[in-house]
Amino acid sequence: MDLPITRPSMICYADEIEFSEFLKDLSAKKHNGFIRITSGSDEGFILFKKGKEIAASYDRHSRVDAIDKIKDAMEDNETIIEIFNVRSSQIDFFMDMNKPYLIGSEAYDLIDEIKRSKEVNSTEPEPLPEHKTVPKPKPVSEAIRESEIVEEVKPIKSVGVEEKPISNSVSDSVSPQVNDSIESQELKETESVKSEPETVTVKDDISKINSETVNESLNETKPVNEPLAESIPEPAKPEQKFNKPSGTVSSTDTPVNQNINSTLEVNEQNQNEFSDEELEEAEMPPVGRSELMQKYGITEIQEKDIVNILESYKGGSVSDEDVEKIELTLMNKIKKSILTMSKVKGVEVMVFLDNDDGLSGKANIVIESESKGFFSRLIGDSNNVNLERRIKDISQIEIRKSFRKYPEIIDKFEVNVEIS
Amino acid sequence: MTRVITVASGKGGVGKTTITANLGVALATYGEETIVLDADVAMANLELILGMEGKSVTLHDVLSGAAPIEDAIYEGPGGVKVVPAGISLEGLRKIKMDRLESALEVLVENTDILLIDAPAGLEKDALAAIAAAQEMILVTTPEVPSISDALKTKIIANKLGVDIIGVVINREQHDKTFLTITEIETILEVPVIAVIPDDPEVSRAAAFGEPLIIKNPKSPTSNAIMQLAADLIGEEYQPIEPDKKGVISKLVEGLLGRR
Repeated sequence: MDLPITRPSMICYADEIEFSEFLKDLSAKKHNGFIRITSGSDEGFILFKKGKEIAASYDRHSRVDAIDKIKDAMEDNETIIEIFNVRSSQIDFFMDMNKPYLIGSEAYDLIDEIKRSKEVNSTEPEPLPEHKTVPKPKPVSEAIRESEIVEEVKPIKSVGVEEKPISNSVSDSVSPQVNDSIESQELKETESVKSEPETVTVKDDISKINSETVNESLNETKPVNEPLAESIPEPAKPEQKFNKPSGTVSSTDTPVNQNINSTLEVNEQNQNEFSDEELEEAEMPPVGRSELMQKYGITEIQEKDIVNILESYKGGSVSDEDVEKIELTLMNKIKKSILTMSKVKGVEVMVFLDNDDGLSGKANIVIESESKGFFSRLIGDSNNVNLERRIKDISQIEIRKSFRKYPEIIDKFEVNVEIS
Repeated sequence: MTRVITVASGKGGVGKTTITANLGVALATYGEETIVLDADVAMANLELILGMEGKSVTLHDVLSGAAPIEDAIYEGPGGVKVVPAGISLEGLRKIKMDRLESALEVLVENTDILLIDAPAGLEKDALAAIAAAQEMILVTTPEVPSISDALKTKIIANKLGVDIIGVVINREQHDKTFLTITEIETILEVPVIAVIPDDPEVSRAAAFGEPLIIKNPKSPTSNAIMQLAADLIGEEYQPIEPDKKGVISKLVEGLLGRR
């Protein structure tokens, strides 16, 4: 299954826990996440949603079969169990990604049944194609790769070699075990084994040495292939890793021996050149950013949060455009407030902000007051003083309202009032 | 023209200061006039890594208005110039990050590259360090929390008009537990410019107060940082191969007094 392997919340060996109790415990805790079971080279997963097992895989098995195999694997004390926690919001995404492994997925049950029935039908008349049975439904990308391999193998059939052994041998070249066997057998038994005309017919122009090598490798691959096809399914990972090298070989329309020899050469080269991880990474289909983010539970920062963060930063973040906007807004606000006052006939407000060394400002306010009566004229300027003080207060209030979060700016603001 | 590059991460403890210190020394070894400024005024570590603790005038004094920036510049290892933040917490409250910009204006006058070690997080001091630069290097480990924070930092830096040069993946372990380089590039939408392996030598060098690229120039980490420095300034770098002599032969040579 395709699941994000991060830090496990718990790791233990199979002998440290009672598996059924362990599952009950996860169910009771309404666990959201998955467990990974590693037994030797086999790996399995069970995905949980609110404590319920919703998907499972083990080696090439899926769903209920996989759970049975996992239970078998738990009998081995060396089996490692890891628990991974994921967010509940991620579970649906993982279910989408791993549809073939969903327990109770009727469509896939049906596909499996069809495959099984095909297996039974195909095995009756011909015993050989048994190894072609693929019990596990695979993701689309893998299926495409496999179909490419099958297509690429086709030209080899036209070379003049009997179909069955060659198709076996070429398909075997995909398998790492077989490649290993070919290499080792070539090293050990290049002279001892003779060609079998019943199995392979090699063209006349092919050199003797090459034909011997081909026959040896073909003959030697048979015993490896048969038990593999009969009993042990190939581990999924090595198959993935070696798809790429073998694919490059079959793309050339060359004689069989050249194909196989070059397969070996390419495999050898690749074994040297690429590490397992690099190959695996190269084999991974490209995943979209949003899928990756969802897989790892990474969320994009919201625009609102960005604004808040940037607002918290005052040093030099105010652009000249911003300054102009602030000036205009502040002018209108102060003007409005002053016009609500009695005795004020007209008002002109000019705000100047200085953004050079921190934000500071100056507000110049010119007031046209109502015409004074005789008594007011006698009292003199005391009314003007009061008015000026009130206008200053109102202006300060507006400035404070506008820069509530920035007291240092308020302190740097100067208000001048002129009354006419 | 002086390049002002901030090294930021978002998450703390990803090795940002170590990379800044070593990168600064590496750039200086290529002949670039380099100043490394520790803008992490609350958790200053750069001076410890470079073995320069206890300096009389630091960035603390500059940002609190007690000293000019020129007095806080010191000669560091490999010819790099260093402005330590100052480990004392006494002056922390007097600091005004607004003064950083004017301090930087003085620093860039006679420098080819100014490297700023930004504080972790996205608080005012971190933003001031990011906004002060034209370019930024993002440092992350291949772990989800670190990448999540790096993504936030990248977005904020973009908003502040800072160019992101690329991502440095620190403490790479070739472990399936962590994100791959491709995944990190896809999520952050920024190219990976260096992958620095997990190396116990880094901690040892820090304990000695010596930059790793001077203490152990043959280590994979040193090679990766030297390569990064070379890439930044368009230089060629030939990695130094580690000694292939066995431990026993080294021991014998040591006993015989050979070098």
